[in-house]
Amino acid sequence: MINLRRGPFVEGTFAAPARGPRTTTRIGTALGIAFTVCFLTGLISHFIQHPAWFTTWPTRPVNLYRLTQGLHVTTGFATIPLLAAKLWSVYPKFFRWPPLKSIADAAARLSILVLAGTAIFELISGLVDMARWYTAMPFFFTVAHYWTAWIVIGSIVVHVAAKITIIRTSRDEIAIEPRDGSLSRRNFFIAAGAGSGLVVFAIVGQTFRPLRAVSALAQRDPGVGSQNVPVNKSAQVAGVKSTARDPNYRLTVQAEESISLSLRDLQAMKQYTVQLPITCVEGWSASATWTGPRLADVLKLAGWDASHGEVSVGSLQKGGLYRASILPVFFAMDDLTLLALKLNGETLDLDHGYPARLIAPNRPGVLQTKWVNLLKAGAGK
Amino acid sequence: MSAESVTAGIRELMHQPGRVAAFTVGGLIVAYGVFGLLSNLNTSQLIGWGAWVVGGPLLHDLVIAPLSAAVALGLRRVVPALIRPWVTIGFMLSAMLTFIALPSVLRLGNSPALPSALPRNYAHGLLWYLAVVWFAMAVAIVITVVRRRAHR
Repeated sequence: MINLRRGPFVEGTFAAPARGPRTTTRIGTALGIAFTVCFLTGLISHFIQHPAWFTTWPTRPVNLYRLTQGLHVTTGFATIPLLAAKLWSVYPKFFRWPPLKSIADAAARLSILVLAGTAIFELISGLVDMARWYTAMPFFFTVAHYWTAWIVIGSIVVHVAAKITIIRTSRDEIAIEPRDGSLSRRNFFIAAGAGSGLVVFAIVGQTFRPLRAVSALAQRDPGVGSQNVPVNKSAQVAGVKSTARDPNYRLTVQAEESISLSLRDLQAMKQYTVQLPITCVEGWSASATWTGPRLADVLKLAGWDASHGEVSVGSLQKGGLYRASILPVFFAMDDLTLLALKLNGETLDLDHGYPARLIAPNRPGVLQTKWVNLLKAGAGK
Repeated sequence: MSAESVTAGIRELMHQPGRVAAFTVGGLIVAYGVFGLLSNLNTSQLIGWGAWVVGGPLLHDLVIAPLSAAVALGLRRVVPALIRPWVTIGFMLSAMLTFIALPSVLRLGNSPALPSALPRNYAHGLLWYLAVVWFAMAVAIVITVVRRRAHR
């Protein structure tokens, strides 16, 4: 009989003092926590954008979404080195002999492929999306990223249950102090932690402004963009370059009655100035000063009051997933919610939604509709 | 893969209700995710999704891991044992930083209509970070060597 057990399949090929159940368990625990943080903050972001009957989201603190989404993206980045460390620590098992022992064993190996594959999918699709490399993904990012997260979390629960004996006994494993120049377990943990920390340091400035100068690998700079605020969809991309500049621009407001307002009408209303962040779902955020009439004041001109409930906000943008948004009633009533006409003291740039854009507290950027031309009581079209 | 081993496995599980509960709950969560994907992605998207999910581990197991093993083997030949841990850590951190910077460095998602996205020179940024890593490793190596000499 031919001996198939050669090369990497020979036991001990990948032996290293830093490999072992203790290493795998510790890195695995960190990964479990990291994925849980990403999952929960991801659920928050999902349900703000796709509310269900059992979900609600407050208007205060105004920076709460900024915190949860910043945590989501930053933790995701921090997890990449941890996952690499975890895969390294169990790599010899890939060449285990015999490859399959029983049906249950085959199922276990398959479940690990699912866990590893979906965990890698979540982190790498997030990384690729942040770099706006959308063409690398033959699926719609947000939908695939959301549903795959459920598979990762479920697989982690199964994985922990399957490995619970190893996890428990791993505490008693004694560290080997290598003298041959290979990495000790302790140094391996230091390397994994340092990798995680460095990656965070390199990107967190996109949402944590004090670090923007040192976060050289951040895909966004909160101080770079039209009027020093980043833009995720420019007027050119949205196809509104001419319609937004049309002097005959009118805002239609529909509640008890339907009225039509010009930009001058909006400018003639009482103006308020608020400081609110633009928080992108892609993890960057930037605080800015916005000026314009309160949204509730505009709505009241058409006889709107809180009993009308939520408000749909429509845009000059012809198509696209985010051309309109629904504003829950508490956000519509809020004193900080404006129909902004100015940004940082200047007339709103075309890329920021000229002539008028929605700006509300504690809300993802994709729902801060730009180039607003319709306010309508209710969620209907 | 005998029938007995399966029944033995099931019998063993019967004595571990906590584990059975975790398998069931975890399995249901996985099933929910699979159901969501199947009902929201069309066939070609599902194929693309599958290619990513299978391709990720394959890329790691067949390309990245053997490559890093080869680098480790090379270091074992070239670098003295005393300072090799630091050199190894330097390579690990460099690889990690390069990996996360790569999509930005290559500007794969660059769009001229959106100048505020990817606003920096990421190759420069990456080189700076690598310089910091290797400077730190150089300091650690010097300290290690000086300490060893002092012990003699």
